[in-house]
Amino acid sequence: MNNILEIKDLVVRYETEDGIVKAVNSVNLSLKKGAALGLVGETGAGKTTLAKSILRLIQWPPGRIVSGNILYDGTDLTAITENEMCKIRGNDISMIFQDPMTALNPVLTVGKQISEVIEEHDKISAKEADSKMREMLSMVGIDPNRAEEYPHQFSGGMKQRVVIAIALACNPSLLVADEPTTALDVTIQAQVLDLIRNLREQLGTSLLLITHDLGVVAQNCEYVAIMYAGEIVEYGELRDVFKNGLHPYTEGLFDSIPKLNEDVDRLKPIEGLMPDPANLPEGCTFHPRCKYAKDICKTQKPEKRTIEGEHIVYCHRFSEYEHLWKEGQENE
Amino acid sequence: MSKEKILEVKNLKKYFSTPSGMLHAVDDVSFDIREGETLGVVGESGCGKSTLGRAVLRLNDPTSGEVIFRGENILKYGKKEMKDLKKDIQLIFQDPFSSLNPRMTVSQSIAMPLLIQGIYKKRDKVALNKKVNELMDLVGLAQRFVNSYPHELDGGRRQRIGIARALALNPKFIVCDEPVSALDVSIQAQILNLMQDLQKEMGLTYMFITHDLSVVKHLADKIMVMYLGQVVEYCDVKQLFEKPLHPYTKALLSAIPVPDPDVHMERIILKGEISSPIEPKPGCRFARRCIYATEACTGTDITLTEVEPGHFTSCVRIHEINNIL
Repeated sequence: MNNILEIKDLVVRYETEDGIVKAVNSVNLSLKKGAALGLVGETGAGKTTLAKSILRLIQWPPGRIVSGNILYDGTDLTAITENEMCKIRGNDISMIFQDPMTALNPVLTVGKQISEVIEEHDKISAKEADSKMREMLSMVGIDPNRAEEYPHQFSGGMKQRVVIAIALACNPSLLVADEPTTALDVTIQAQVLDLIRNLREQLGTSLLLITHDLGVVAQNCEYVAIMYAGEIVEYGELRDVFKNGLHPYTEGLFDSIPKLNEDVDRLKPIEGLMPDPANLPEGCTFHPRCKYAKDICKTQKPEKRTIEGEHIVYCHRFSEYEHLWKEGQENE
Repeated sequence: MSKEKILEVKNLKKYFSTPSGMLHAVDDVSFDIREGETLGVVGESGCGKSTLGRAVLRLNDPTSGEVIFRGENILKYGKKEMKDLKKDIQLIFQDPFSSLNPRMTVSQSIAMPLLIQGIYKKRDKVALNKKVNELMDLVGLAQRFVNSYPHELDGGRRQRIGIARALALNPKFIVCDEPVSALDVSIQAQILNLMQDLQKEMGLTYMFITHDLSVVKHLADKIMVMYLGQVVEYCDVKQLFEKPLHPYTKALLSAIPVPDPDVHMERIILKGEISSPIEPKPGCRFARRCIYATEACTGTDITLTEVEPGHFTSCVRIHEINNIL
């Protein structure tokens, strides 16, 4: 068993008064032990919902996991009781939330918020937990003497370090980081990413890094999954996707960003908008925005197609319907 | 390259008084922008870039200094002259969610500046609607949204309303305060392209405030890097990206993750965080985090000096660090 996390056909929906929001639609994804996987997508792609499902943090109502399995080290997280899940959360899998300003409790000292996790999971005395908490603080580069301070006395970058210290307090084997640096300035982002990288090297933690920043993925991950409208559209090793990206959405993403290392006169944006997840288009969900779209794309969902090694893409241009797609091209 | 200077800012200061002392938000900033050019102002949160943009437009009246627009110091203007000036200078805000009145339709928001300036009368509905429709076409907003409210639209479309509103009076100079940072990358690219097209068509001059260096590199002609209320480096975009001189600029550039697995930047990880802008001590504001800092960096204020033709920095050790004679 060398996958620490395997997600199989996961479907998550929010059942609201205005309709059923199809946030995650049959997602298959796996993460190797010790590796870092970057999950990239735009607002509303379902990245955060996917992350929360792994920790079973989706609130019902309105959201629930409709079907599928999430295997953590062989245990199906969708089948165990809430009590068992509590033992896993924070201990085996922990999460870094996007916004450090709201992820901390404003009326508890930062030290208390870290030692709380340790006391809960490690079953050790308050005194031992206190010294472990101070160790954690200095590991993330905060003076342990500040343990008695409250979150509002810390800057954004410092708060995010506290959130990281909480997440790593019990040496989890899997860390789910949901946009951990989006709220931070670039120089602080560099500090935080550096910290996460060092900790991974020391502790061998596996990482699922959710972000919309392709740069962050390129510099921190070994694998990438591109998500669009609740589906994974492309997956592969970093180099496969970044150097030989096949899905039209992946291509559009790369053409949309101004790059520091290349000169482009004009950006090539993806036309149109992400579809409403309560009202997804038929066929390939990307077809209304796709410049290569043919008739087949409007009616049939593309199948999974393995290109080479682990490089997977969901697109008719590369699937077994390739001939139909080509015919469509000739007819034009 | 001898286009006329449209805006000149001299020794501009904006201080805010706080219970714990004077907050030096913008401290002695000077620069100029030539007609049709784009000046990128970059820096991290709290460096004073937004305050600078607002001070130039007199949305916050500067503490001291001069803002010369087409040869006249606008800080001396009275109320009526300021109102006239608003026809030529406009602002695009960062947040397309809070900068639009939620109770006004798209057409009402766009028509507002035209009515305030008395260019169209309210009873002159046909002409006004025609102008609004023209503006909507200009920024690529479909006519079917004319009676929509902002909450019905996505961020990209809302930002288009903000742009249409800013363009309504045919301005010459626009301060853009992080116009794309709230948008997703694919939408961001649409808006950046639109702004580039409009600049070409209408001969606009932009002061583009952002924290995103890759956006500035794409759009700007000149660039100004700010740190704690002061300019640390000011030069052509090309010079800055090819040969950054100031230690802070170098660290800033190295901190940006490049979306290419083959490019590995030599990272300079800065220690600590931005210090407080309240009653700063004299000397280089960056010295506390700078790897090159010596005693010479503290004590006396450092002024912006021309190190190479057209390349200004404020660092006393600039020659030693970069081996320039």
